[in-house]
Amino acid sequence: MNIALPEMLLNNITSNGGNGSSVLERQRARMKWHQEQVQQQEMSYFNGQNDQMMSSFHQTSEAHEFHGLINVNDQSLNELVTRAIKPDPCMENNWGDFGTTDNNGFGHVPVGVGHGGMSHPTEMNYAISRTTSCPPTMADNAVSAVKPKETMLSSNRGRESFKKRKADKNQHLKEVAEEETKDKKLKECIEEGDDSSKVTTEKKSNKRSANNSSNSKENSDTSKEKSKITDDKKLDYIHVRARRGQATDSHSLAERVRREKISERMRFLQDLVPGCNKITGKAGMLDEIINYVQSLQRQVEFLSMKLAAVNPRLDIDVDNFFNKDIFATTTSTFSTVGAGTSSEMLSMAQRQVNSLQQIMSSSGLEMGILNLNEMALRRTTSAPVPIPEMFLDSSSINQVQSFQTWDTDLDNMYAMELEQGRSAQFLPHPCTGFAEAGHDLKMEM
Amino acid sequence: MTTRSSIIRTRFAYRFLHSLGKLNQQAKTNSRRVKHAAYTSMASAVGSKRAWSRAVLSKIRNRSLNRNLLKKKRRSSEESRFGELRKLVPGGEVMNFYNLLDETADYINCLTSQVQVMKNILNLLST
Repeated sequence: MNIALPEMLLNNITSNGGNGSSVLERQRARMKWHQEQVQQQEMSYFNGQNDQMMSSFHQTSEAHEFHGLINVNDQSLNELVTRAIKPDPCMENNWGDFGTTDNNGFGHVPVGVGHGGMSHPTEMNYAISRTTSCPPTMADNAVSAVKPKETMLSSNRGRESFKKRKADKNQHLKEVAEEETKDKKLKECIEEGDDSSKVTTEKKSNKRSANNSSNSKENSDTSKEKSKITDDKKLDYIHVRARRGQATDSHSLAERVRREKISERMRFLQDLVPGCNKITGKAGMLDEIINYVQSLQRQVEFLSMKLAAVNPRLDIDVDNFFNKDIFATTTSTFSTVGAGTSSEMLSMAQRQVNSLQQIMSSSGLEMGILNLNEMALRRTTSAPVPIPEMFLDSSSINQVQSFQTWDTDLDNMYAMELEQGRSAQFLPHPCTGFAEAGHDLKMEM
Repeated sequence: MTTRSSIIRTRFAYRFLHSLGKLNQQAKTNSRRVKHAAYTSMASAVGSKRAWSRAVLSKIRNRSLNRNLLKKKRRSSEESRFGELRKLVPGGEVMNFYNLLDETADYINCLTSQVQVMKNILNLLST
């Protein structure tokens, strides 16, 4: 019971401090904790206790959680000492008082209030419940430090009693698993419940035997050593942790990694596919994804059918393009239309100048009406190019320009098109792109 | 992401309209050809960095070569839901499941933008 507690609580603290704290960090914190504990055993109680507490907790926990506790420590260290020397069943109640004093700002509150702070759902109290759940282990340490003889004895006993250790380790494993599930859920209320349950278990253990606490602490050291070894083994697979009853050989670990990746992808796909959020389970999600892809493909088919029907009219509607174009708001439609008209014009070279002039005039008119503000903004930057020169440009395709510049040019086209009241600047840009797209067409058709 | 999709959109629109013009010149436009043009221009707009677009492009490039081969493959991979998804995503027959999901995500993105652009073009043409 008590064995796993320091470690576990420490884990809680670290996971509380940074929600995304990795296993490695936890391990490091655990090691540190271990060292601290060993030191603590060796040091005399009254000299080092307070500093030890402060330093160790400063290293591992968030500052805001602990300032209150430290303050309280200074005030009521005496009380702590007396209680620690004579461990009694309400020890954790004592610490619960620390939590409440933390909350209220007083030094001393009558024993028996217990875990009142823990039942409150607020964030602050949540943090407090953390701190309150921590200190009993410290008290245990204090006990063990005060009675070194007993620890010696109990360490002997601990070596003898393998059964107990085994049971303790099982408990430890269980609690690790518990912690993992907690990490996943990250629900405050659940954690609070866990905390209270832990405290109650601790209470039980305290009731069971006061002197057993030191013994179990010794046990915790040994079990920690064991867990350290396993953790070193696991360092390669930081993101995977075997729960209780799970296989730890490399194959199953790799499989777990693979499954993790797949589920991550599935989550990503879930965001993409509309209406997929409600569905739970991989099979249902896959069905939904398949349906969505199929529907999209069918839509493409349908649209291409329609386009095939409409396509013969394509060249006639060039003028309408720009009229529509101005009403459209998105850049994509803008550039679509721009590209469309340009390609259309290239296919019909004989009509080009006339249609172009028509488009220019019409678009200029429309835009003058609709986008007066933008016009006023951007007219200053536009440098009108005479139409014959532009036409020359389009007929002699500029092949120097590369793929990327074509892209950026197309992006700029939105602005360009807005700029053009009567300047004919937009055509050279699609035409440079044509050089690149020309050889693609062989492939396309 | 938005910039990338918009770039792909503009590229696709340009290519698609260009090939539509070409089809128009050929004077034998049917829906199958238009669909082919749409998919090919989408794939070439995405480029060769995605597996599905590579699959589409290679399929187009040597269409005559592997016509029989494709039929065989299709027959063999009719097993499960995964097989269904594999059939839907181009080039999915040879991927592992993780990559398949990855490609599916990208493919869905591209298909949605494709549909949008085609709808826009259709709107512009039909009115």
